[in-house]
Amino acid sequence: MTAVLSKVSPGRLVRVAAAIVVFFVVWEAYGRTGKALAVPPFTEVCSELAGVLTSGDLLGPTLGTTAVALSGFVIAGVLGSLLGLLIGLFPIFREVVGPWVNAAYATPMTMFIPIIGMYFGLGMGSQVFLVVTFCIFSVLMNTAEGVQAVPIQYYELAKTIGVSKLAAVFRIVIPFALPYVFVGLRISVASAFAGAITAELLLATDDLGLMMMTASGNFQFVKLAALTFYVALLGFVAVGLVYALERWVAGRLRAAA
Amino acid sequence: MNRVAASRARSTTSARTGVTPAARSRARNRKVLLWSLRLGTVAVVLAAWEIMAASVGEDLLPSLGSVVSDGIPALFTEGYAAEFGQTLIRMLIGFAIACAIALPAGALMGASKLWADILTPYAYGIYMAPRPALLPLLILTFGAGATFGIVMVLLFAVFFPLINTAKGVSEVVNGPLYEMTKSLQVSRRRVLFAVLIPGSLPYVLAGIRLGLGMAFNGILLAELWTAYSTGGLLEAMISYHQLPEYFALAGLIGLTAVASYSLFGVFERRVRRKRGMAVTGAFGEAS
Amino acid sequence: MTAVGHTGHSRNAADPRADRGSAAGGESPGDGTRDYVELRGVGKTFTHGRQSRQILDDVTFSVREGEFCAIVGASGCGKSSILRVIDGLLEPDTGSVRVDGQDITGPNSQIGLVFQQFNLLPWKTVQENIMFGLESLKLSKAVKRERCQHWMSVVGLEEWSGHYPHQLSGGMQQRVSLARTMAREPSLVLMDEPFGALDALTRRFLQQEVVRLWQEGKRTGILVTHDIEEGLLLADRIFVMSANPGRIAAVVDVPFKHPRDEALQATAEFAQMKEHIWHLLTAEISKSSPYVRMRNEPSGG
Repeated sequence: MTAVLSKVSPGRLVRVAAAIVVFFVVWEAYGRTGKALAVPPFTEVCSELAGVLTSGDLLGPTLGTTAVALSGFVIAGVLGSLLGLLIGLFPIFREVVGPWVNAAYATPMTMFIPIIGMYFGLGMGSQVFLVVTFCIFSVLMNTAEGVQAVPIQYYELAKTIGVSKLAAVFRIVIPFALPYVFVGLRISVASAFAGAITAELLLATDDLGLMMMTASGNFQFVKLAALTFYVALLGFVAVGLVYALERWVAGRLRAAA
Repeated sequence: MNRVAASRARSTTSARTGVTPAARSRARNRKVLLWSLRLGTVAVVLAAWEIMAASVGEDLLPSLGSVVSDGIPALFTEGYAAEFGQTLIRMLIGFAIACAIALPAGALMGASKLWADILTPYAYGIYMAPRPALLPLLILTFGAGATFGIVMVLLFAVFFPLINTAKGVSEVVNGPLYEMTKSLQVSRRRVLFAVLIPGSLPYVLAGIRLGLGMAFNGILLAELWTAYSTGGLLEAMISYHQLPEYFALAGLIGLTAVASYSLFGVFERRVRRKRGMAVTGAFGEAS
Repeated sequence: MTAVGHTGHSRNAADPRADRGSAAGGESPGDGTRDYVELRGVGKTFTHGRQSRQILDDVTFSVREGEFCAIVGASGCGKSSILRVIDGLLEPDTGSVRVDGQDITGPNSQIGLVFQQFNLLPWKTVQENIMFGLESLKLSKAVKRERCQHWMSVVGLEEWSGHYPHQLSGGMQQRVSLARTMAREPSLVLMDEPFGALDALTRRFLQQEVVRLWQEGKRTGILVTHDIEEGLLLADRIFVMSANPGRIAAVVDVPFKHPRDEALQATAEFAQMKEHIWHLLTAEISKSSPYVRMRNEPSGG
């Protein structure tokens, strides 16, 4: 009887789009004043980026950085969701380990960068390790929250149907907690690129981080701005891909149900 | 009601239900058990540390003894702690600015759909973009000193207070309480102080707590990049293999961060309990 | 049949309100009571994104001064919206709303609204909540405190004055909400399914409280509910409301005398009334074509 109300009116979409457009307009205007070396006009940045893209110089470093980010993301995702599952399912585990996980979340992992370099060397290993430290908490905590949010009635229902505890985990808990897990994954993938860039700037300069530092060292400020913009875009694309992944997984789950 | 709430309902007592001595001692025993398990895990970790330190040698991993005997005094004799104090001040300045921007902006976003639409792309843009990528660029504008650190803290810390304040204000403004105040003809100014601020307080506190955690990351990242102040110290300690001092300083930083996080957590829990809101357990924060 | 149990209000020429009353045009001379609440042709449509829903369509009815009326209808038929229109929280798209002869432009202190969800401020104690409700009134602190004390004892919560809402049961919270509204001593009290969130026993107890309050004071009341029995137990007249869009389908006078207790509920007459109203309701729900409005001719409202 009640009509399905559309979620977002076109008016609101226009406002959001307008706000984004304003950003670029202001960027362009400010860049044209030439007041800040670090802020060239948007159009200049775009053309510079186009140039770098077409030159093919960007391909290798992009792949390298993405590899680091992706590896860390996957490891953090697997570890984080498993730990989150355990913490969510077993109250004892949660109450014992919980405070320490919270403490670890609160400590700034950034301060360990120097020693990570010392222990893991200056290669991809240490970079991936840093990415994992950046990513793992959001996955872990969101997964735990999702698992804990399963209403107790679901467990009771499973018991009455005679579903084994293990099966209950797979067929009830995981599908229910999945949206939460994906929230964590979306944040995590953005952190993964942040971690990868951090590692490439501070640990083992490599790939995109190296490109940025080289541009900075050669006073190629427009190129630096272009690369920074490019990295930001990478982050957004990655988040978008996780969104798409979530929709695909949800669709598959619904089909299987 | 989910399992967490059920298990907590079984083990906690409230003013309304009868508190029997048996229930109280059961609760106390449970608390003792938990804390001994928690400290036990710490003890295991510390023991593992000692074993590792012994096997790989002082050069790679200092024993806990040397951290305590060499590292901790150095914090004070060499002025490392004082230097960290300076870093902390810069961080707090940056954080204060971040909150000064985030709280009003968040309130605006929560109260007005228009502003929510306008500011949301900026908020999420800042959060989703890999912020460390701005390090080389920002150093051009702000130099390699104190200002740079403050700006990085600002960028890192602004998101959580903004988003959480928006959520808190939105809940109050879009909720039934707001309509009730209109029916009671409460002046809009009074609503701000008597309803909006107290109502959104739990969320604002959560945002500040999470933002503070990010602020620590921001200042350290900036200082490591420019080898300035505490960041510079940390890097130098590694270069010169002063590992006990390194772990002592890292310990100090970590302790400060955890303490402030927990302190806000305690405060936030008290505020929530007074309102009868769910007091989240080990984890409660999502984004 | 006229309802028993409410006080009449006689007009005389010197009464300034008399002129206003006749200007509103809902009077029958010699009735003894005037229309206190008048809705004429009230319509309201909600737009959400691209969709719009007509909540109210040509709602017209009147409530006499000192009367206690109930609006009975299914969920979502817009009955809550009617209360909000009367309280000045919602502006109708069409039609007029008048209380005490005045057009409604916004909430005023003579009208009180009791919500279904209690709506107490969780960080204030019971006493602070009631005092908060009195803030907009220009009274001295002493008077406010006295009213607060009085109404807390009327609803039986003096011992809980220092407690916070989450420490109270649902019934107690609703009593606080009631006290908060009544402490403003409004002449018109609107109640939006006030007992819907409570269990049956608490509900019955609070219903009796409401009846008691109305026996004591000269207040006009409008109750919105989906519970036909509740309407029969409390109201002098029942407005049967249909949904989609919301309209007053019928007006039923409730002939029973107060006190209306369990004995009354057991009578055949009560059951017949209940069934009558039930039929009126379901007839509206099952009708798919534009329906004929069945209304008793208004006698002064």
